[in-house]
Amino acid sequence: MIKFEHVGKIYPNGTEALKDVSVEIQQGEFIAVIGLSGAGKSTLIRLINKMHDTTSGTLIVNDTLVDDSLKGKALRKFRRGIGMVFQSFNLIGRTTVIKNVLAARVAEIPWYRALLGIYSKEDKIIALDALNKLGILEKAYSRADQLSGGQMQRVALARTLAQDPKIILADEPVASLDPITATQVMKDFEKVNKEFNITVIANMHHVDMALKYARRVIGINSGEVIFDGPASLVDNDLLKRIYGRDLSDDDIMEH
Amino acid sequence: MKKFWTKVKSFLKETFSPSPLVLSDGSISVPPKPIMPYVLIGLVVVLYFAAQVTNFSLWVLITRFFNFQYGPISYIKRFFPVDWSYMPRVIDPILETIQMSFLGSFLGAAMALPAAFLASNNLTKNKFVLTSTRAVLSIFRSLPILIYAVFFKLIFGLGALPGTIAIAVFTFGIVAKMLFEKIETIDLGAYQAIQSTGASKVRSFITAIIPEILPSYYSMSLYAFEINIRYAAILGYVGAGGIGFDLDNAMKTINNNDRIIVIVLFIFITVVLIENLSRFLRRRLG
Amino acid sequence: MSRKVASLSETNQDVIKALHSAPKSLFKKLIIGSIILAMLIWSASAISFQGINSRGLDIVINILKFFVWPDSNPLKPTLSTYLFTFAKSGVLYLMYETIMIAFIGTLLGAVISIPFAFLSSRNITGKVGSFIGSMIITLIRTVPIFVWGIIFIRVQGGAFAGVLAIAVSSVGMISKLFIEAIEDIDKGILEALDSTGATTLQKIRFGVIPQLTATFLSTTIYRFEINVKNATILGMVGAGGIGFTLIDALGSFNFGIVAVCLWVIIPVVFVIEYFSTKIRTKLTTGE
Repeated sequence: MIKFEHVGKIYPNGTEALKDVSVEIQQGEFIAVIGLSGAGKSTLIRLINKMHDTTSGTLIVNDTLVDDSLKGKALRKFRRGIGMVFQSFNLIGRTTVIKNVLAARVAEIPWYRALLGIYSKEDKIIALDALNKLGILEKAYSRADQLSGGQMQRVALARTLAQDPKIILADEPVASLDPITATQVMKDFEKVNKEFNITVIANMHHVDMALKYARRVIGINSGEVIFDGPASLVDNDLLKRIYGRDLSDDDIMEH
Repeated sequence: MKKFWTKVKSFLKETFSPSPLVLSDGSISVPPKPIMPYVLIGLVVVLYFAAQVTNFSLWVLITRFFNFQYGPISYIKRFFPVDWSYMPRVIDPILETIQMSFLGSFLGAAMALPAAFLASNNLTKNKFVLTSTRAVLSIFRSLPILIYAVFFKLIFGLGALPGTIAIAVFTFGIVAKMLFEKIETIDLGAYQAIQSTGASKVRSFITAIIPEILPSYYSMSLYAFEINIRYAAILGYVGAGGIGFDLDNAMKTINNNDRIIVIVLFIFITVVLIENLSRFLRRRLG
Repeated sequence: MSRKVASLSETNQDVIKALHSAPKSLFKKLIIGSIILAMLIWSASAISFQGINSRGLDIVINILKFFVWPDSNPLKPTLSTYLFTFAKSGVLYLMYETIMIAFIGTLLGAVISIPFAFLSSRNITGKVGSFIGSMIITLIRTVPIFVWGIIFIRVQGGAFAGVLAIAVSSVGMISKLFIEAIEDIDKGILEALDSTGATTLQKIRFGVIPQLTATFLSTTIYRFEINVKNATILGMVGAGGIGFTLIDALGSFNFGIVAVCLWVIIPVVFVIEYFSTKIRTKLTTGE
């Protein structure tokens, strides 16, 4: 469970990215965070795995208080339970797909294995299993930079699965993909969320995708949570309030 | 006469502070202040002092250079006829030179990896660690390798050991620099992604960054090996192992001057072989 | 470890198949690894630990002690005699001499390299010329610099010999880079000048020289940087500069003098490197 209580974030350069955010997220939810670029979406999800720090308020993630005292070994252990998927996939180009997924295990294996990059049979089975669940098992030994964008994102998702996480954060996961591939990836997120009861929180700037796959929507405008409720309740007026303007072509993926 | 001086004056003025050009449509273009003339003058001044200090004299150069009795040519004449029978005795020292160069380059390159991690400004945020690592690398690069050889000879005695360590230290300096300059240009996305799974910085470095820089790293190490083989040939001069010792001996002992060509020839062949091997491998690495 | 995925015993058949179908790149890696390992073991055999000075640790501590405070031995004051003096035996003068040796040497070497490089470029003398040129260059580069030093002492011992040694040894590297620049000349610019009716002299002045000056200057400055370090060493064979004092002091365990020399050498080289890099980047990206 994730609980934001009056959380605020002000960056060192003075920008107030989030104001008084209070949100509660239960295990197994599928949430889309929408809003303009710079509205605070990215900040919100990066607070959850402490890639950024809160400047006010309290944040509790799975019974752990996320504040300045969470650092070093404890922080790393905490992050093992949270997976993250990025817009630019962030795979290791020169290595094979399976090695990329195995990288998720690097935090847990003994130091001599980590140093030489030698994984155990169990590690490899976990990795291959994750790839299988996303339907790209056959690409296991291909070089990562030879895949299509959609395949790369699925490898990234497989990497997070290999962590056995309770939460998966996705920062604009489909923004670099074409509509068809994007749909496939969003369906993968949906499957992961339903089959394994993993909480999925996705930052999205394509509104139609967000509404189609997420069950709950959090709309942010200028750092404040304007809306927090079921996706079915989101209508055009609400969208106008979240975006502060009419939707443009950029905000919609499928035309 | 006056015309001449006016010409000189206007030339000097145009060179040192050119006037703005007025174009046909009235707009004005101001040429930037030229520094070349000042640089040239500076160079000539330095040249004058340098010639004083070093007793540079073209006259001496020309007269002594071709002096057959005492000049360099008389010395070079003693290299002939070449003592080819010395060849088998060159093999061991040459091999020792290669051994020193290889091991030294390997050790230096190996130590360069962790150092480069600490010296990269996109990986190490601690300013103190960053600047001190870079300072140490700078110092290791600044000193000529012979000084290391003599220094280590004091501690480790004669032989290949001080030479190997000297080469290792020198290699460490240059490979680490090339490496951190490379690391600062790569995309850290994968590095951050692995950190977000809960891996420490070091593990993330090993898993995400090293595969990206590995081909360049091998290339840099081979390049270092290529350079080092020439330095290794010198180190023997101070007794730190390798063929330098034999070469020095051959040069200073009148009876052995006829060996010099053999020694230089073998160094030449070794260097050419290793340079070509290194270039071949580096091209294969892409 | 509890996992949400199926336990190992229930693992999908496809996954097991994939596990065993991993490509055997291990073989190639093992071969390369063993070759390198063999080379390392062979290389290490050259090292004997016999000569290790039992007082080695003492020496290191001593060196460090003197490095921090050169006047550690009150009987041999170093700071006043070697550092704070402009006498010809003081390190300041010696370093100055060293830099000057490197300066003229590099300049002389560059001047000689220009015609030599032109005569060794493929686009001017063809394959034969460039082959001969590259052989000569490799020969120059393989002859250790102290050899040149010893040869040229017979012209005139002292700093002048150092200048000549530096000049000749520089021809190697400078020519090599000059040749690369010459062979890279963009012919298109020359053709464009041709079409405007330029004479050969004008083509050279406006088409060839501008393309080459930046590289020539950059190369020469880079070589100067290296030569300052070389000049530091040449003193050892008696070719002038701080080398003799440094190595002699090191050999006779006069660590105070060693320290003072290093105090001067390290910052000087560092500063020269800094400005050299700055000027060279400006040359290749602007000016």
